[in-house]
Amino acid sequence: MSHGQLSELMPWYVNGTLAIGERQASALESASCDACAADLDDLSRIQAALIDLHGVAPEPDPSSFAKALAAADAEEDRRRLGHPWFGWWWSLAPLRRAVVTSVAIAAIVGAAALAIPWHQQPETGVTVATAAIPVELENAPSDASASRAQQRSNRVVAVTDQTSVRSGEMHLSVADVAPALTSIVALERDAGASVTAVDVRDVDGGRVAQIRLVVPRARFDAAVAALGSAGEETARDVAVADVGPQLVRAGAALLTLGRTENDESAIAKRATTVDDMLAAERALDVTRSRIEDERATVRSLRSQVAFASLTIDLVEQAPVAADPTAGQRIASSWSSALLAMESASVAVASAAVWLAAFIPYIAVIGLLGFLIVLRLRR
Amino acid sequence: MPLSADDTAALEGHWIGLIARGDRGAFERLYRSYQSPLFKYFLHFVHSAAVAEELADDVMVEVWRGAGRYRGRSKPSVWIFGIAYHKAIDALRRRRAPLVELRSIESVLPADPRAAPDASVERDVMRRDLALALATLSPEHRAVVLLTFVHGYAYQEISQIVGCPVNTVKTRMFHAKRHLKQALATRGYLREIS
Repeated sequence: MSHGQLSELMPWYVNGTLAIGERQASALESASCDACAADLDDLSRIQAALIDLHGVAPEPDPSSFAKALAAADAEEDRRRLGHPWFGWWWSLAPLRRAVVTSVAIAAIVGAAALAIPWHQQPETGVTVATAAIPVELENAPSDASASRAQQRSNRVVAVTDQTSVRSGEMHLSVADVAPALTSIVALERDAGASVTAVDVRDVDGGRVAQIRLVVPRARFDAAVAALGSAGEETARDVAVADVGPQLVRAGAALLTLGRTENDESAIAKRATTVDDMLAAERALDVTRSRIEDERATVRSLRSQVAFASLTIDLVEQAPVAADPTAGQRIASSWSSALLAMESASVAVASAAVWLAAFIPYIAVIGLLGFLIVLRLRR
Repeated sequence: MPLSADDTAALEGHWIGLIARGDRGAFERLYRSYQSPLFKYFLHFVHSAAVAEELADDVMVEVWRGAGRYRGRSKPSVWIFGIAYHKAIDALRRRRAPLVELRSIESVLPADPRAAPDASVERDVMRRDLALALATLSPEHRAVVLLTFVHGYAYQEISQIVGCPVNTVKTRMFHAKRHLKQALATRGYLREIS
């Protein structure tokens, strides 16, 4: 150690806190160097004077402990009572407090962002019809019947059963497609159903079939329930669609067309020339053709309401595999583990990306929180 | 028999552990141990008994509040004086009064010189001169001098207390020592520096 280095250490040689090696080197230096010896002497005097000064300095008020304890109590109260839920939060260092606050706010904001349905999806599946329909639609309206129909069309009724079209789709797993098809046809015949299409195909690993039926609406539920005995049901999807609005629209169109037909008939009767008569007859034909179209629409809709459609997919079951060996089980477990790890990794990565999107907010909120805490502490 | 420095540190560490669990008895014992050293330490910075007392209390309240965060990486006294050093610097920064008034030096001297153990006039004058020389040092240099000569800390510990590298502590001591020696030599308490 050089003279300069040892000279720097002299104050701590004097106060006796040097490590043993430094102490020995300092002792040797002060013994061999006059300047260091003089420095040591001066520092010893300074230390003695400072200790003397310290010793005679006034003492604090011994009773001030009560004040300090009161301040500590106030601090404790602030922590425990003033903030009953967040006492632990106050006990954190300001920086950690700011970080915890930022993360909590980000979590709340994120949860709120996820919980609020920003993009409301329309509901699918069953719809409940509450539209108004005219009851009398079939007959060609005369003036009187048109008036009656108009009055009826103004009645608003709950039409859930009268205007809803039901359809169903079932997937059945069967041992053999052919007998299953036979049994389904027999079952459905009992239920009053009619087969509209059958499609049987050979695919890898067995045969599949699709059978389409129409079932009287009143027997739809019973037919679906009866199908359960034809095979092992793997999926079922029953949908209800409301055709009330279409029926109302067709009914209103028929009323209008009926009035038009009456007007055109009167014009034809009053025609005095052959040309006027022919023109009135042509217009009348067009109107009557449109009336027939609307009636066909109404009939079709009523038919859909009266008969439900049912589609049944049949799939032959794969032969039952033998009990897996230990190796197969281990391989299966390994595959499951890999799949789980992949899912977990994707979840972690998604969470990280999600958090990354909030980093600017977290940083700004954290900075603000930190500044507020600093401000409060002062 | 007084405890060794290591035993004292162990005992104080134990008290801080108890304080972290809300033990008021341990807090009182630690307070009694540190009230006077902290008060006198602050007197050299703020030159006001009332403010020094308030700062000492602030330090102990900070100890009460932060006892749970003490991890024992340094001696308890180093931790406590570290809090005190920063309180002193903050207090001086808030007061914005860098100039030392001669009158304020009285605060670190005995109220009645005759009550001091050695009541000679010459010694009283020397104490006054020393207090004045100390007061003209910057707070950072003053802290290093007081922590070394009065409170007996090693330079590594002082580096932890004031939060700066060891070499900075040595440099501060070098300048503070030269200043004090010059001031005291001028008044004839030390030989003149060549």
